[in-house]
Amino acid sequence: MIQKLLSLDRRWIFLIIAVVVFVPAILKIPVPVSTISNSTQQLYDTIEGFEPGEVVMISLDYGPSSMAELQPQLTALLHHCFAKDLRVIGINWAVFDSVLLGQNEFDRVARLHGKTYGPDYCYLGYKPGGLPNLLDMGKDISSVYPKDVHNKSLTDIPMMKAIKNYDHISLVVDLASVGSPPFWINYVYGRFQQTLALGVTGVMISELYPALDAGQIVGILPGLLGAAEYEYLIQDANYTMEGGDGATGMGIQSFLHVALILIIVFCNIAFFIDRRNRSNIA
Amino acid sequence: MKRQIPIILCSLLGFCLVVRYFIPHRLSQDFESTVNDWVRILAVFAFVIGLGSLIRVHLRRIAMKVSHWQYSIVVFVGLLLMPLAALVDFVKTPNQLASLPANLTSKLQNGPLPATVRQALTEGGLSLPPVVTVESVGKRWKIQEQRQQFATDASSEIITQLDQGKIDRILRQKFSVRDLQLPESIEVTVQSKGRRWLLESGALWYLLIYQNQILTVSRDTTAAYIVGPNPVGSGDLPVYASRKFSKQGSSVNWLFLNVYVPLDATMFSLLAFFIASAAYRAFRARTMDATLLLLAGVILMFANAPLLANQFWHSVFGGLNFLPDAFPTLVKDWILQVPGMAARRAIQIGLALGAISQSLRILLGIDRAWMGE
Amino acid sequence: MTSWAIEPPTEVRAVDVLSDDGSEGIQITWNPAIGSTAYRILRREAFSADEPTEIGEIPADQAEHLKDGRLRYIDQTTQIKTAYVYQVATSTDDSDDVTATSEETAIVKAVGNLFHRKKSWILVFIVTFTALTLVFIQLARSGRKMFIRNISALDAVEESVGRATEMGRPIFFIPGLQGLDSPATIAAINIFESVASEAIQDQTRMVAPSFDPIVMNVMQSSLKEVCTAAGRPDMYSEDDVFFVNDRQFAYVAAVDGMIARDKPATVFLQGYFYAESLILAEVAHSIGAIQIAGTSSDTQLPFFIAACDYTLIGEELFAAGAYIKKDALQLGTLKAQDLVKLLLFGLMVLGGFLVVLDINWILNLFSTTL
Repeated sequence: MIQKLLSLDRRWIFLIIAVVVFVPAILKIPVPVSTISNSTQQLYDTIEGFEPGEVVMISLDYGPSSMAELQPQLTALLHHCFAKDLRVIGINWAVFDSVLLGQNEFDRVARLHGKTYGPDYCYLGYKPGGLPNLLDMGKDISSVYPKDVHNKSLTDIPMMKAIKNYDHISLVVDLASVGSPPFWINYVYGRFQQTLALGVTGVMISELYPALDAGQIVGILPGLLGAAEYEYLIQDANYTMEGGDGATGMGIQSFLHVALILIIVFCNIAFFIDRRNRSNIA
Repeated sequence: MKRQIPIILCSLLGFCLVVRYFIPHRLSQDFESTVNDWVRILAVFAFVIGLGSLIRVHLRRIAMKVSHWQYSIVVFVGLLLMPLAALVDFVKTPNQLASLPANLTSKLQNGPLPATVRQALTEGGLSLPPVVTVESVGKRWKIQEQRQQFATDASSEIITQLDQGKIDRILRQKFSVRDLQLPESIEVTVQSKGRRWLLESGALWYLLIYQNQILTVSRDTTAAYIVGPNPVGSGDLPVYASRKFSKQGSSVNWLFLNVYVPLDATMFSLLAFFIASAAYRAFRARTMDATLLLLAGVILMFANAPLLANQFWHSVFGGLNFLPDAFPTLVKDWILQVPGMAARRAIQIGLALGAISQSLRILLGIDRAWMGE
Repeated sequence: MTSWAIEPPTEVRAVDVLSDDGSEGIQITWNPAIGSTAYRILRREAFSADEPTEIGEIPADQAEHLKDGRLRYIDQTTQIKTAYVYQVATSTDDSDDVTATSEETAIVKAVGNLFHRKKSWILVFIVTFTALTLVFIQLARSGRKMFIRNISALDAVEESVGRATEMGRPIFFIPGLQGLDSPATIAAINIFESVASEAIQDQTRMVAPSFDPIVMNVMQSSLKEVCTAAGRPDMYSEDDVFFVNDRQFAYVAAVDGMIARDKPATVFLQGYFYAESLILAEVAHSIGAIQIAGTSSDTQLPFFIAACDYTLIGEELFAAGAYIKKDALQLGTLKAQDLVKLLLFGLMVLGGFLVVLDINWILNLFSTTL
């Protein structure tokens, strides 16, 4: 019996996970956060300290697969930037899949805050080229992006007239599910001393703490939890009333973690009983 | 010789780029830009090689009817579907909504829409919003609605209804007076930043802001009309709805949002299931090391679930005043940033040195794996 | 109101900003003048008869103070290679616009520099590493034995190939999701070669679905060479090393499908991986394949360690090529790497000790700002 439990068919585990994910997802059970990670608070404080009109560049380096974790981060960041009357540039440096996802979200949140495309925000999209593009934007953004996603020349976009390179950008946030953060840190921070922050998937977070400690980045949003924390902060400051996906995601994540902890505890109990039985027999 | 030339080239260019890193002079920056341009150009050819391989391998599988050859057909369907959809979008001419008589074309210029042009277009069946501007775009003209804003008194009844996500009859009437009829399909989508509501219908949206008993309404749209160009040189100019802004309708975007996005997300979401099954196998307290891994994992999962770290923790251990409020989060941060980070730094330093050593082997021509040797 | 005449700023010096391409401008420093509430910076082109023009004004309390008490202003509006002279004038809050202007500086030009001074320590590090590597390569050439500890994941290669041969099933080799510009991919190709030469000798098929067309090309030519060297050119098939897709999860879906259908006896996951690592490893586990993994992605290492039979941890991946081939020259470079690691370790211990004693110069060696 115990042996059977220890080599349980993994489909049973899949079934448990499916139930634990689907039920809170369908019922949309929100679990708000109340304690905020340091790294999230640091990013929030940085943006909070900006004067109206300062420029934030957000690079969406994630595909649809990681949308669940990173899109709520984007939404929360955009709410904060627009509510504080900052100007925002959207790009997709490493991944082209999310151009449309980013563009739609920029438009949607901008509308909520009464912002106009051109003077208040713009979306430059994806350009093939990789690392050279990051470096060239340090000299001249229009050499990498002569036109925006609407095929409009950068010289015709009001806000871009005064923005030539990183010198005119107060903060770059890289929202990443791929290996882009080291490139932003090594080259954009390293070469141009650009103030940099990250929003990454939960798996990547621990890899990036050294950069936070070294002062190379000013903050990190850790996965879906980071999104939920940021939502809490901007709602607390009354920048938005919109209930984001972060809090709902926390519901699913909470139940999933409870289930995983129980599964692990259960498996270890079975393991110990099995070991004791064996030693008794021996 | 055939082998030596690539090795010499690789070493030479590699050393040049290392030296370049230490020279801030403009000439050295120009050298790097040139190399970067070449990298971009060469990257394009890689796609051609990849596509060639893909087509060759799968054509052969179909021709030889190897086992599971049917999947190769799926590859071709996928390969052709997206370009075909893009082609359809490109070729599909937008519906002509109206036409502008030839004698009025000279009236078009950047700025507000001349009344005569408006009249002609309205008679031609195009219902234009009250305030529009004209902008020249290449050989065409773009007619776009300008943002309009007006303030109106709002009763508490209207605000309550908006809060509940309903559109009130009185609100509709107020809008009609201003010549801004709300479309039937409009819905209150989001409530945001204090008293703010967004009413959306397709490309059209209204932003309502309630402040000091005044409801400010702004109407805006991404919809636009394109006038011209004339296919025959002179005569009436055709008027179309702008394709650029009707992005929801194109087939490529439909495929992207309804096929690619869900498939991609599905593959990634399998991770949740596999993490559980791998954890069931691996997280057993067999040895001291395994027990530490297990404990760290459980603490992190606990702290990353607000239901446990906040709600559960406060209800069970809330009375223990000597513990800080965010105790689980603090413990999690400590594990990640102290012991976790120490181990990770050790691995990262090892990796960095390994990568440098590997690079040196390549530059010195000792490691030739990169040329398939 | 009477104002006392104030002294002009003294010892005004202008020098080119170092470690730049000339665009960072010219740095002007001066001794502060008592009583001055603001400073105006005046500039004129050296070989012209023009009057100096004001290029900037800074309040005295906002001016940048250097350690030696002097004040600094950086003029970023200069043209490269144009000769300038500067003056600094004081100004006060008094309504009488009493100013005192310093003497002119020597002629100065903003020029591009040939060495980035803040990178000196990086240069020292690279030169040391390269020199040690060359020394050990020379030692290896002269026939000195190089010891390398056992790496169990690599010792398992032979067993795993043998198993595939016995079962009559193929070996899958997945070279990660990065291109040829990644050291991890090159390390993976090194391992591929070694595994392939064992497999081909045993007449076992190697299948390598690739994420990057150039990596595919290199692996094809590598396999071809291995087959020819083993005297089995007939074993080479272009269809065994092929390009799948360069989208992360589309690639994973395709490879998982192939693993589930072809049921390989052994699956090698070597190179750089992202979130797909566990999805690949778990599917391979579900069909009962032996999995030998190795990655330089430290976030994915725990997944491989939990799910795979053998894992190359961190730098073991880079050492694998030298280990399997027993190539003396490559082993020599590993020795140099170990020595540098020891050196760094010593520096860290020393640095930690010194920082506790509040001696911080050693931190500058590892400065992250350039």
